[in-house]
Order: sequence, then structure tokens, then C-alpha cells
Amino acid sequence: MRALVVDDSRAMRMILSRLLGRIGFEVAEAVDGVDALEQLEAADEAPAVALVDWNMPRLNGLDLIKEVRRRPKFSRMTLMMVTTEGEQAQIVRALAAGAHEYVIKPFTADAIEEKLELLGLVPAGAAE
Amino acid sequence: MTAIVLPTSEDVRQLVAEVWASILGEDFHELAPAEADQRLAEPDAVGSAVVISGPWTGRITLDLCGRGADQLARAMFGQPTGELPAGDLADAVGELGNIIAGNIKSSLPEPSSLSLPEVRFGPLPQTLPAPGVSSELAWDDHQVRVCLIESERVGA
Repeated sequence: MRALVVDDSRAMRMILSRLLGRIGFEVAEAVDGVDALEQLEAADEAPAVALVDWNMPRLNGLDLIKEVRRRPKFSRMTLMMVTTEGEQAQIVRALAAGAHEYVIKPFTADAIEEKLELLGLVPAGAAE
Repeated sequence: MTAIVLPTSEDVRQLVAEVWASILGEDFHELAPAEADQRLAEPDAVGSAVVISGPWTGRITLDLCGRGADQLARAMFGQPTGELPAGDLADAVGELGNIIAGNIKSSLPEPSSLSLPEVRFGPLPQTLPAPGVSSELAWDDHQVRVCLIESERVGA
């Protein structure tokens, strides 16, 4: 199963990629929303899930989610916001825009894995 | 008009401890209040600043001694040995500053926005504005300082 990590921090991309790799995902990385959209448009098949940061240059995570949701070819892709933005209004905006899950940094590996289990993307205990 | 209640130094300590634990895992033991330390004035110190704009507007600064920044960055990149490029160190410290500022923003009145982090190598300027909250902390043999510095209100 394929995953896309979208974050302008290389350190955070590596943390999430390591985590997803341990669970068994094949992971691609994008440095911002524009890069993510370009990779998605160029791919033969959309990844099963994208983990998306909110604050990024060029195109932020919220606008990326809106752009992805406007494209029917990505309708089956699961979107998870992984961000420092913890205001209730922002969580509501992200979910209304089409995010399936919302994780606030700092997170634990267990928290991400649990969300992926709830979304049916990994079997329980996949990272153990 | 209700006064804005800023996080206390203890709130900041707990937040930074949570962030450090998520990064360092079992290698992290305790983050304790500490006296101001000369290590943050050394040339290898690294700092980041993120601006919060909203009902409370100001900067959240994170300053780390060089060895502490190196330990955290290596943990984030999964690179225990070998040369760590300055760009990777800056990226890691910027992201840590972003996480801390984002969580502080969540405790402030909504709506607020966050800037992207700016990272600085080298010691702090000698003259700093008086911060609203300053938290000096230490873990293992490393030093960290987090400050909430309110901007002067325009037109106030």
C-alpha cells in the first residue's frame, strides 16, 4: 500500500516516513502542497493515504485537501491532517474540507497507527 | 474586555517535555527548570522564532544549546552518527519551534495564525525585549529556553 507524506520539514517527513515504512507502506514525500499535487497528478494510481501538514509555503495543507477533493480521480484517497494547528475551528474546517482524520503534533507512533487502524488502512498491531 | 491568560512557565515545561519525549523516546528522562545558562550564548547555539498573530500577537522563541539541538535533530532524522548538515539542523529546530508555538497558540484565544519558523544560528542578541513568559529548562546536560514575547500593539 502506498502513502504520501506532505510536510515542509524534512525532519518531520523522515519521522512519518520511518513510521509508515515500519507498518509496511511504500512512502513518497512532498515538500508542500504544490509538490504533492504535481506528484499525485503524475502518478498512475493515487496513494491509499496522504498525511498532510497544515502550514507550508506555496500551498498549505487545507488548500491541498480542497484541491484533492475537487478531483474525482482521488476520491478514494484517505487524507489525514498532521499538524500543530489545534484550534477547534481549524479542526472543523479541515474535516469539512475533506480530511478523514486529524492528528496534532507532537504525536506518538501509536497515535498515528491507531488512526490508520480506525481508517482500515492497516491491521491491528501492524507495527509491532 | 477579558485579559488574555498566557501559559505559565510550568505549562511550557510540560509542553516541551511532551515534545522531547515524542522525539527522543526512551532516551528522554526529565526536563527540569534551570538557571540561565552560558551555553545558550555559545556560537553553536541554535534558535527558532514563530510569530502568532491574533488576539495575542507575539513571537514564540526556542533556543537550544548546540549539543542539545544536535541530539534532537539526530533523533528526528534517525541519524545517530556521521555529519549532520547545517540545513538539517535548521530544519529540525524550526520544526520543534513550530510544534511548540502551535501548541501554545492552541491555549490562546481564537482565531490566531502561525508564521513559518525562522531559524538562527549563534547566540541570542545581547539585548532582548522583556518577554511575557520565559522558561529556562535543562535535560541531561543540555539547555533550552522558550520565550513568549508580546509584540507592541499597533495604535494602542
